Parts: sequence; structure tokens; C-alpha cells
Amino acid sequence: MNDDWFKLIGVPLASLAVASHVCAAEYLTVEQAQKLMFGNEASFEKADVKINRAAKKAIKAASGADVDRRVLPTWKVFDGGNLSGFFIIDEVIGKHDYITYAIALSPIGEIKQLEILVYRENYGYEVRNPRWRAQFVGHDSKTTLDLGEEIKNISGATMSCRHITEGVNRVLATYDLFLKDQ
Amino acid sequence: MISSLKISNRARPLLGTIVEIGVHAEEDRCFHEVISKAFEKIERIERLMSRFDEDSEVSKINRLNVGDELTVSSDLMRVLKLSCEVSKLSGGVFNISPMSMVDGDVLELNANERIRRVQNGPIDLGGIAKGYAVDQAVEYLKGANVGSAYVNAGGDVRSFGQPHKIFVRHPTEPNKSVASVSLHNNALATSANYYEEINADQSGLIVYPKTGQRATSGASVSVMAPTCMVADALTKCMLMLKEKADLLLHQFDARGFLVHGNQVTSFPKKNQ
Repeated sequence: MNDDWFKLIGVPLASLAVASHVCAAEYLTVEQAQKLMFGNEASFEKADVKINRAAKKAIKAASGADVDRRVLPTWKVFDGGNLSGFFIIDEVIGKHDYITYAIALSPIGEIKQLEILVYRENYGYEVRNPRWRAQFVGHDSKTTLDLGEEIKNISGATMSCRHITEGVNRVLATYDLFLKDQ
Repeated sequence: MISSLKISNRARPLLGTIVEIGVHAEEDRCFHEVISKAFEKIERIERLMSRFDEDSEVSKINRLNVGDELTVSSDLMRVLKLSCEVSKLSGGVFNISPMSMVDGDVLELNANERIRRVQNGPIDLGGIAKGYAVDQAVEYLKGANVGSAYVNAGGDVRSFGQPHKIFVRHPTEPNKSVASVSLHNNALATSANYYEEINADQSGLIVYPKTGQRATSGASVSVMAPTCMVADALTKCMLMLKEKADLLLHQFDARGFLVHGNQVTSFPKKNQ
């Protein structure tokens, strides 16, 4: 049995040198995610949420999550003239990862679906675990998600999980404060 | 010419990970339906074998009392049969009922896809079903006259047609790659305690239930095999058995390598 079926990367004889491995995955464009989450027939009306200083404080107070963005890219979604939900793009930037994800909310603010669009990471692959992500489904702004309580932690992906958990809380709080009554 | 083919790939969240399916084709437009159907094959296996879905066949088995019987799908029976085979050949290291802490099988596999529970204890096909789902998607793609494609379920990968290159992460520095493997009509699966906190005794999270022995922390194992189901199952054995897994690998026409610290060891050893 020979060993030529795999190649070591940068191996100077006895010691093993490792090569940098940064994973960058672009799974869906915004348009693809919109169609995936709401179907081909849905129409999307841009309804970005502008976040000023007062809004940041309010969102932070409601969600416990820091708010760095000035605008939350948001679309109202219509199907046959009726509001069928909201499509929101958020991103979390951590020490080891950069994640852009889309959330589909029902008209009453329940999470219908969460899809990661772009993922550049050094650590935390497990945040793409759908079982973990599925835990978000059905939550709304009345329940603040807490890592280890409503949302189970994933061993080894703590940082990414925490970032997305915070991001989802932030989005739900933003919905509650600024989109709910639209 | 195959090298001029364009790759059309899509990803969906399935099987507890992101599943990517890529098809090499001159025109990608006609393969979207094929890719969607390949995803459906995986979704079907997930519905059958997820222990988190109370309607799955695995959950139904877990609700059986000792002595109860159930007719299961041919898919589940195939996975159970291979599980039993690997379990026997590995001396029980591979175990679909790790929490049962009993000797012998918890299920009796009979003709006509009938199974009977013979001992208590939940079963969990997490160590093998993902590989089987990948195989099912690949078999579908082959049957759909796709010439070259790959299916990657979070590191459980199988390809056919054009070679497909895979990079294997370092077990303790998962932002770095230690090896590359070029798949060509075969499968590769990798198991590791990525991201875990290393215990003071250097033991890891993967446990051999009968003895309580833990797989060495900071190690990863990659196994290449003809099918992804076999590769998936054998990684767990090799992580625990190391060089003792040589015979097991031979029996399944598989080979693997273990990365631990600065050492890379390939199995089976040469001249065997």
C-alpha cells in the first residue's frame, strides 16, 4: 500500500508545517436566497431600517446585542398583493469569521428560515449546522435567545454561535421596534 | 473534453451540515433539476435516519420495547447491516447504540427488512448515515447520466468523473490544511475533535463506550474508501484503534491517515 493517494502540504521531512486554510464559501446571492425563501412569485420592496443612535440604544436594550450597523438591509415581501413577510440581511463579524446571513420573517415576526449566504472563516464551521440553525425557527422578539438556553451551544463553535445568536436577537428586536406595525 | 467543463454547484443545509453538490457540465442550466433531485435523495435519507425527527424510522426503532418487531426501509436495513458488520470487525468500537452499555447488538436483523429489538438502548446512526446519504445522491447523479460530479456533506465527500480535490484541516489548527486528497470515483471522510478544549490528560471527546476509553485529543483521521458510508464508519474506528485498524481497512478496501501533532501516519502500513 503506497502513500501517494494523499499529499502533505508543506512538509519538510520529519516535521509538519501547515498551510493557511481560510474557507470562503458563497452559497447564495441575495436574489437566490429571496427566491429560495419566498418563491419565484414573491415581490420584494426595499424597506431598509435606518439605525440612528437612539435606535441602537433601543435595539441593544431589547436584545442585549451590540449594534454596529447604521442600516439593516430589509425587504417587505408580497405575494399576490398581500404581505407575506420580511427578508432581512445581517452580518456578524467575529475574531475568526465573517458571516452574512439572511432571515425570512413571517408577517408576525416569526423566523421562517435562516440561510447563510457568505461564510469566510477560520473557525466555527458548525454554525452552518442546520440543526443548530433550526433552533431559531419559530422564535420571535418576545423571547430573547440565550446561548445554552433556547439555543444550544455547539462544542467548539462557541464564538460563531454566539455571534449569530446575538445577530438573530438583534434582528428580532429591530423587527419589534421598527417593522412590526408596518 | 472534460477539463473544459464548467462546474455548477449548489448547497443546502441538510444532515446537520451544509451539503454541496457540484456537477461538471458544458451547460449548467439543464442540471439544476438533477441537482434538486439529488438533494431530495439526501433529504429522504435524513427523514428516515435522523434521531431528532420523531417520525423517522430510527425514532420508531428507539420507541420499540424489547421483543417488538418493525419492518424498515431497504435503505435503513443496508445501513444497519453495514453497521453490524463494522461493529463486529472492529470488536465493538463502532457502535450504533453507544449509550446502551450492553454486550452484543440491540437489534436483530431479519429477512424481509424486519428488525427485532433484543436489548434496550437508543440507536444513533450519526456515525454512518451521512455517508450513506452522500452515496445515495451520487448513485442518483450517476443514474441521471451526469458524467462528473461530487457530493460533499460537511467533509464526507464522494466524487465520480473528474478528480475532486479535498483539503484536510489540521486537527488542532483548523484554520490550516495539512494534506490534500484527490478523489476520483471514491469517497473520503474525516473525523476529528476539531475545536474542542483539550483535556489535561490529552483525551478527546470521542469515547469508546464499553471501556470509557477516549480517542486521543488533537488527532484527526481521514479514510478513503469506495463508498462514503464505509469511509464514514471507518473513521470512527480508526480514530480509536489507530494501527489496530489496519485489518479493518484491508477488509473494506480502504486506507487512511491519522494526523496528531506534527505526525502524519498512514494506514494500512506498507507491505501488508
